[in-house]
Amino acid sequence: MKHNLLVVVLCFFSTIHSQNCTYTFIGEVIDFHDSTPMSGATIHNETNNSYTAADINGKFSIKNLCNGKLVLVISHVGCETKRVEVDILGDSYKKILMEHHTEELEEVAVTSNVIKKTTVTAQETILKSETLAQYSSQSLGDALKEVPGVYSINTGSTIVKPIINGMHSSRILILNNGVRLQDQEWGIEHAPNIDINSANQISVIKGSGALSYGGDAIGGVVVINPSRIIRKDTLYGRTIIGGQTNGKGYNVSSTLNKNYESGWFAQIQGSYKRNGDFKAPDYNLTNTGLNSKGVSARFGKNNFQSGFEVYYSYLENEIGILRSAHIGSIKGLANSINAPRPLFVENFSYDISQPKQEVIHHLFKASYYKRFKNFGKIDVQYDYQNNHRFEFDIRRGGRSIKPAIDLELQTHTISLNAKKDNNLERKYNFGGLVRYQNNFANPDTGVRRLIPDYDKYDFGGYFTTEWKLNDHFIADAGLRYDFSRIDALKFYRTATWEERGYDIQFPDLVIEVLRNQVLTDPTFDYHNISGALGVKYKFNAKNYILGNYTLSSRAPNPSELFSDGLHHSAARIEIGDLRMDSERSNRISGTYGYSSSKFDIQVESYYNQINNFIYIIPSPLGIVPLIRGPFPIWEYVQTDAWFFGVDVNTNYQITPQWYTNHKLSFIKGYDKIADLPLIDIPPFTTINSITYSKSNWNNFTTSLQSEWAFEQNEFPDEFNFTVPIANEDDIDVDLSPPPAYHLMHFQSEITLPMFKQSSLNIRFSVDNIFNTNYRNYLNRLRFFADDLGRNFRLQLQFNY
Amino acid sequence: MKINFLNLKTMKTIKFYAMAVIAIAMLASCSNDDDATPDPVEEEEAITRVVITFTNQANATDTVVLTWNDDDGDEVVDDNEKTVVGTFAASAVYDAVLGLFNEAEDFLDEDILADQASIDAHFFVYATTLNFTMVRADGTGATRTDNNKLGVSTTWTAGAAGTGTISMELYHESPSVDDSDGFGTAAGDDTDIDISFDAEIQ
Repeated sequence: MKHNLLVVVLCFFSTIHSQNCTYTFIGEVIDFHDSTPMSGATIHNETNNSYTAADINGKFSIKNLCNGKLVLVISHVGCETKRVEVDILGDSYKKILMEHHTEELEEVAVTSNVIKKTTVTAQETILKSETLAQYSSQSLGDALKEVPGVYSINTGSTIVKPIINGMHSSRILILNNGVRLQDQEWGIEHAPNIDINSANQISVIKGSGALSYGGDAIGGVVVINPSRIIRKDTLYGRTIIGGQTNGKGYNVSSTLNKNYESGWFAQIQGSYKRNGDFKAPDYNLTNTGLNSKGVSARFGKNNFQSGFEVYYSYLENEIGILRSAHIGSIKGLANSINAPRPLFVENFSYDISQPKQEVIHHLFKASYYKRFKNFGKIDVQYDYQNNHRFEFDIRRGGRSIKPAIDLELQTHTISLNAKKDNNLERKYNFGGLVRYQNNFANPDTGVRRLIPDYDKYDFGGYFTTEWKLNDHFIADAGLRYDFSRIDALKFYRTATWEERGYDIQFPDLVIEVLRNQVLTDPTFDYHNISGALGVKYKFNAKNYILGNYTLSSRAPNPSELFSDGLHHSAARIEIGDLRMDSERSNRISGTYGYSSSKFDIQVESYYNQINNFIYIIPSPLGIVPLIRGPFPIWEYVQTDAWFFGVDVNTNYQITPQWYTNHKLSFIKGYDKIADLPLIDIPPFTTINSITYSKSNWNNFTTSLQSEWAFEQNEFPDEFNFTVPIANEDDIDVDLSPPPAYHLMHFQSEITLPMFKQSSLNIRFSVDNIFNTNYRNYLNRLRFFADDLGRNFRLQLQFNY
Repeated sequence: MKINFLNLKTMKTIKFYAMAVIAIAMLASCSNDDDATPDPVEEEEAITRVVITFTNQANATDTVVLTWNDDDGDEVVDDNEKTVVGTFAASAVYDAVLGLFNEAEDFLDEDILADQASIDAHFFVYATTLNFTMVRADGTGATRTDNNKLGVSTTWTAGAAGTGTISMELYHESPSVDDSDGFGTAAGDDTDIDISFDAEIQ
């Protein structure tokens, strides 16, 4: 009886229990970005520790539930595991959003070293963090030369501007953490204001394929990215300390990152570089010191569905210009070219005196993004840049401390980008930007303004799409429109204004007539269309080809429009032209790539036809006798030009320890109308290296590199000229390229493990081992002095 | 394409950000008074007038004045901006003085003879195709620390008659100068003045 009663009671209780726990929960697991059901997702019911799986429609059900809280942990291959709490109140249904394309959607980095190309079909090369670390003591322009087809145009060895496929300055677009650099890039002595130590990865894109960044990158795009955000609780950093014998230079750089699993992140980075006078093999290069300070900081939150970032960077550079490069007239230039030794050679010093430049660049950005279900991502960004450039010249009566050039360029940009990627096989991007820029030329310099005060307004919109047709074939296309208006206030000398016929063509621009001068208000609008079309075809795992066509247009820069004065270090008078129109480039390119475990090769070729190509050439006005001496006049003209080139990069693994790398690049550039070779086209260059590496000797690597630059034999000889001097012999000014040179470099490194998760990388290198005397065609100081002699460098890098 | 993905809350958030950003941009851009007309730059170091005055030691009314005046203000030495008044008499001895001006400002006094550092930074070099000998007559107020006389005051002795040129150069920060032959020589080519006049000895 007692037993029966117990059974009844138990039954009763169990009935009561089952009466309240008869509810069913139906869940549906779908992919966030494209709403496809996620079949096979595993659902772990933590409440009673049972498992179930989603069916083909992504649905699952859990029966016999009571009211209350249900904790589910859903996992799917390639997804971040998701924990969901459901309140059960009767029969329930819930849609559970998962994302299993986070990698493809570029949101989360599994490690900080994921290589992610910016483009699909363009000729793009990535420089990784390890490569960039080698250039910690140098500049962006030096590092980019790792990419075949990229050279640099230098003013000495610290002002280094990248040349991509023969083009530089305004034809190259540089993006620093998503912000287009606006730093008076029109000037040939204006190096990009980037601290190489703030970069974690750099993409070099040849041609203008990356339309979302701008339509005027006729030469190419450089995308500089800080380290990617890792969504886990971690604190890591890196410190680099380096020293070198040439210039007695030293540099320190440190980066610290703090990341949280919740998506919050913060990073701070600082670097300091200093060197004194560099040394050519036979003499000191007096006044070539550098003093560079950079700081950057960022923080934000990075989650799959939304995030924001605030970023600030500051860079201050004080750069000495070779004393002997300050010349009074064309006679000085002619004599310097022929002199065996520069005029001013003094003992080593860290002092930087005139001529020199000081540039301060601030960059601030704030961005926000949100990802929308079954659509994609939208981001908005505001950025502000302030670029303040001072150039100090050798002046009289204590005026040397007063800058001869004092320009402040401020830029505000608001941009909006949308990416529709719910179908990863048909991606669409569109967006636009509004930009306002103000240039202020300080009149207190006591020197006529080289670049006038101006306001510039830009507006742009683009649409690009990427179609993955099958596993072998990807095609992309894009279209962009840009409007820009430049509104300047410029003083012209009356004589100049009339000489150029502006008084007849632009009489309305004059707003004030002063003695010998007119104040004018040139305002010009430019409408530019650009486009791109590209394909990538993968034959198999080893072979692929890329084909690309781009149309790009670039409005003339302030220097091309308004230049009007003496350019001291070039010993010439440079004259712009208000009648300039936009340049239009049509570029076709083809790439073949092969890679196997032992051998890989990339062959990139291109043909770029540029109508209205703007460049500066000696004017038919010839040489004018200024009171300070004779100077040639050079003026900006528009012509049609073409560029053709081939860049090859190949690696061969001879044995597991030995491998070789070979790079060569060839380029030709012509003025089609004048049928003359273009000036400053890089000569044929080949860089070959052999490396021995043994990973079980603490990643020991040593390599020997040969750099062979040929003589550029395609030079517009018409640019050489003869200066007639009254009662003296005529002076021949021969600007022809210097002879070929061959340099050898050595490099060796080892990485020692330190305490937990830390390592110390020691790198030793020797540049120009044989202390060879040489002059580089693309160094503008080649007229005055030899390039750098031997340099021993030692660098310690702590990773922690 | 579906547009309804933007729910009201997100719209609000985006709107807020957009407004904030625009407001910042406006504030920042308003800080420049764009509409103001810029001031013309007064060239502080321009040399707009060069005068070399030769006076016969024996006859103060016998002078030769070589002048260049930058009438159009373009720094170019145009032929029509140069004037030569007077001719030299053969065998006569002339004292020459130099005048340099930036508009109304006495450039020579303010920029070259102002202090010893300025004096040391400069040197005048003369040349002629005429039959002249020349010595420097500068006092201590125009002599460099290296004992080379600047060449502001000079004495010229005319020889046989003829026509030719007299030229003058002003060197700035030349690494080495030498006044021993009177006319002077200087290394380098950093000149602030490089001018030549036609002249005659009768």
